[in-house]
Amino acid sequence: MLEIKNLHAEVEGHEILKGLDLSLKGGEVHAIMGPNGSGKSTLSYVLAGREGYDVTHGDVTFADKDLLDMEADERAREGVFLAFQYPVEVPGVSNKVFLKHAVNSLRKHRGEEELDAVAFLKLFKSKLKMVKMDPKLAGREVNHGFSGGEKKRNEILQMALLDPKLAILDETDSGLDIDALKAVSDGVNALRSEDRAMLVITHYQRLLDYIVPDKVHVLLDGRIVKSGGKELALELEERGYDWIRAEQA
Amino acid sequence: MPTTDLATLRDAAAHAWQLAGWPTPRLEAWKHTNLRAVEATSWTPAPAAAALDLHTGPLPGTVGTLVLVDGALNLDASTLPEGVQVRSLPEGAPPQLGSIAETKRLEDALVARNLAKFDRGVTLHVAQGVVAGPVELRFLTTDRSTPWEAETRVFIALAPHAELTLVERHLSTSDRAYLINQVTEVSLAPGARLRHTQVQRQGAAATHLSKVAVHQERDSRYEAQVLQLGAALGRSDIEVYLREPGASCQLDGLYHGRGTQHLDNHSAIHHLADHTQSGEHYKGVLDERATGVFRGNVLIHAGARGCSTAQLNRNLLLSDKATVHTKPQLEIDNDDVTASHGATIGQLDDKALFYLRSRGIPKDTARQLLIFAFVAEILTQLPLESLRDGLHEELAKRLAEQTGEIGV
Repeated sequence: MLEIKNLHAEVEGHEILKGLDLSLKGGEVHAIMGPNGSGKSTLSYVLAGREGYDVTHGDVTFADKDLLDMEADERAREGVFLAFQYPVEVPGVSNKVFLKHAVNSLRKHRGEEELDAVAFLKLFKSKLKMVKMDPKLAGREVNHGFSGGEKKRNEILQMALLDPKLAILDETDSGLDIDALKAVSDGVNALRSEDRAMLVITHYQRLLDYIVPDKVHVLLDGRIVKSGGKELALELEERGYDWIRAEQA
Repeated sequence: MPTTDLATLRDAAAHAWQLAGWPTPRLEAWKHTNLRAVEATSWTPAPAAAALDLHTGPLPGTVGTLVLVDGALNLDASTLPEGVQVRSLPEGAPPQLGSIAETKRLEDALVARNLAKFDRGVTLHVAQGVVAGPVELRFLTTDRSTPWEAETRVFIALAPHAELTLVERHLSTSDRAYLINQVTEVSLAPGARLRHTQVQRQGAAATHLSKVAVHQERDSRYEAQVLQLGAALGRSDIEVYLREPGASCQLDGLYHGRGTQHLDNHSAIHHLADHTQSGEHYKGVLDERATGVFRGNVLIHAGARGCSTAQLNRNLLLSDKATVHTKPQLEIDNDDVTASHGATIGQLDDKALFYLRSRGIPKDTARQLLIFAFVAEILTQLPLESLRDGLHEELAKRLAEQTGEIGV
């Protein structure tokens, strides 16, 4: 599904990703852990196609297509979804209008019939139930006045509506209390499928108790330096990252 | 006797106009709006207008439609509203006419010109305690091959505790040059309330100059929403006098300029008494090579204690060649006041744009959604729902005219 080879990327002239390799298959959930500054968010933004993040070397193949050759909205229509660490507030744009546009852009791309207001509302309500989100939030402006937990839930709602092939969850747990964490994790787990790969980027091991990964990778200084099973996450929690740095030296 | 007073006022105004002439950019109030081309044009005064196509039926939700063609009231085409006494001008001129809008300063030359020359218009009067409206003042224009002009007056008087919701629309489909110079005087007695929506959608080659002057007595309220969408050169100038305690006003504006449009928004709010309150919120969207101007003056006069005012102007520039001149200004002559003001000039929020695109929304659609979000706020201030819906659709269409369509 996703094949990243020797990815080098820089932001404002500083190289952050220094030769990252990663490979994901459909149905798999991989976790990426690393200290602050290791390049976790940069990886998310590079995969999502944000301007200002320049790839200087390397290839990214997504579903047999050259991902780096596509613009951000094209990638999304091809099936890439990024759940933001800090979801953006868009005052003045209704959540419903925004999501209807997103869903229909996708459907148009896939050659499916676009949904009218009534059909969209039906789909919307069913997904709201699935992620256990307060229907009142649906009518509000995108993320405006939402609490941290509600914003993260809105990300998972979008994921449910857009049905991506690749979901990148960028520190989805940051700023959440246990209840919100559980609710968001339930939503994510309900979306696991053979046709979907997930990249869970996290700083803390705790999230991985709820979203259990198939593989754990350690991102250090812009590269994946170690990979293992879910026990690796527990080991990192106990021992920190220094022992891995020592191993690398 | 009223007529004599008015005649005297008009003579004085003719004199003032003769001395001052067309305002030039040397005057602070006209610094960014150049009338040279307007001055150089030979304008033919509009004749008494013929009957015109009503330009679709009444606005849903209104209880009366007053149709003015080239600024002259056409009673045959109008539906008179209950609770409002309507008279044509200049015959029906009330005693106060000419005493509210300033004519003495050089910058008021066009108001003086209007007072001297106006030969058409309408007065509206609402009696004590009556709640009237929504009423539409629909201004239509005749398409003529030679440049023409009209000097129009509107006078609105609300008796104590009277209320009126008024929607003023200037609609034109003419692509040819014409000049409208309109002066509106408003007198609000104690406890009166006027909600005044003004939609300027003049033709692409039109010059639309509008002055609104408001006298407010104790506990009265003036709420204006000014939308400038049309004209080659449009100027909205509102002066409000909060003369007695408890008087308050709220001015909300939207100007959307494209091509080489020039949209000027001036206002002066005078706090002349204790415990008066004002608010001002104007938004501008300028695209292509359009220019916008915002000059908002709020004056808290000495001796006006315990007043509050909040003033905000926000502008969105969508192209490299679009320009805006913004100057919100507070003049405070006493210490006992709560005031805030601010102005911003910006472009679309990159983060928000990326967020929308990362959900598969194409770049142009995402831009349009964000621009619409910026302008839509004023729609929530409009008291007439059908107008709100109509403008919602119209603004969406205007924004989509560049590329593609947006469904909002």
